Amino acid sequence: MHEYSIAQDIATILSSVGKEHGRRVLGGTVAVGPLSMIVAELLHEAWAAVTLQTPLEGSALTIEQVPIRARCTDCGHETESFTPFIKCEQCGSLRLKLASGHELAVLSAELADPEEELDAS
Amino acid sequence: MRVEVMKNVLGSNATAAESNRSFWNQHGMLALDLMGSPGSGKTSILEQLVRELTGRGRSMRVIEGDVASDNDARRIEAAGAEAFQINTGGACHLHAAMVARALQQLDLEGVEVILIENVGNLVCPTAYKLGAHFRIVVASVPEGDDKPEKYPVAFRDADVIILNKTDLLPHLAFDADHFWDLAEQLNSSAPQFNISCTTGEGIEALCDFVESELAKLTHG
Repeated sequence: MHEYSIAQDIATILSSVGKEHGRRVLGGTVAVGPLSMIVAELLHEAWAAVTLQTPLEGSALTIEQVPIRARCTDCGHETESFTPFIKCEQCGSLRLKLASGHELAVLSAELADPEEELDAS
Repeated sequence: MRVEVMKNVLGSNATAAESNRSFWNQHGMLALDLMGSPGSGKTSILEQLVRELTGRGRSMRVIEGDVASDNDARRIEAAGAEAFQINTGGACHLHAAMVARALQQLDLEGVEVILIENVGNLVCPTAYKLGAHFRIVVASVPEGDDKPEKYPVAFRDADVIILNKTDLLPHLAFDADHFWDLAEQLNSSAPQFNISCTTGEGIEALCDFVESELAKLTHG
């Protein structure tokens, strides 16, 4: 997929959080669902490249892989899966309503403590 | 110090897609987004749709997305509909904002249907919604009957699934039952169409679908 442009978008979001709080950004956590088609290894690689020589250089990007969650419209059971081929694990039905799986979101930012800011300056 | 953010990374595209959707809803236009591999026959299907829907008295515009050239827009205009060509320059999918800009360039007076041909690709267009009411995935017989298995997200996320070039079925080792079984495993709710732009198979059925969805949109 578009790991480089996505890394750039994540960097923009995290920088603005840092600015909002007046703190240096040490890292961030993103949630990635299987249906976003993001490849974690490529995103890490892209993160290192797009943050190079920026205030985010060296910051840690944590990728949290979240499963597809699908509720069966026949029996109501909720099935979790990391692949797009899903059937209800209870009754085998293919009639499922997806509750998650497309995630591509910045969950949190790790910001430097005020003391660290002083040390850095 | 950890602060919660909870922000969609593709948020700006999602916002533009929502604004396209509300524009279409406000003006009673039904929008369709066709996705498929290069050569799957997206433009040929659009040419057929333009001819058949025009014959039924419908008014439509076509937005064509390609890396380069205006070949497809010219084909559509020859078929009888005004078309706007987006050249992405290299990008492998359309963005919702590109579609919004194309809409500003088109005369939309009296238009009922917007047909969008995405850049030929089965990966990237799935992640960038354009706001269309229906995302249609097009696969074709020469591509092989395991296409849904290889590009599962495109088929799972589609609202309509088309198998194109069915006139070639007698000539190629393509098991249509296997194709539709895989498609069904990924997406049991999307309407399915077998289409041939050579024989015309399925074109009327697809136009019936478009007209019935347009009626639902404009008459609640």
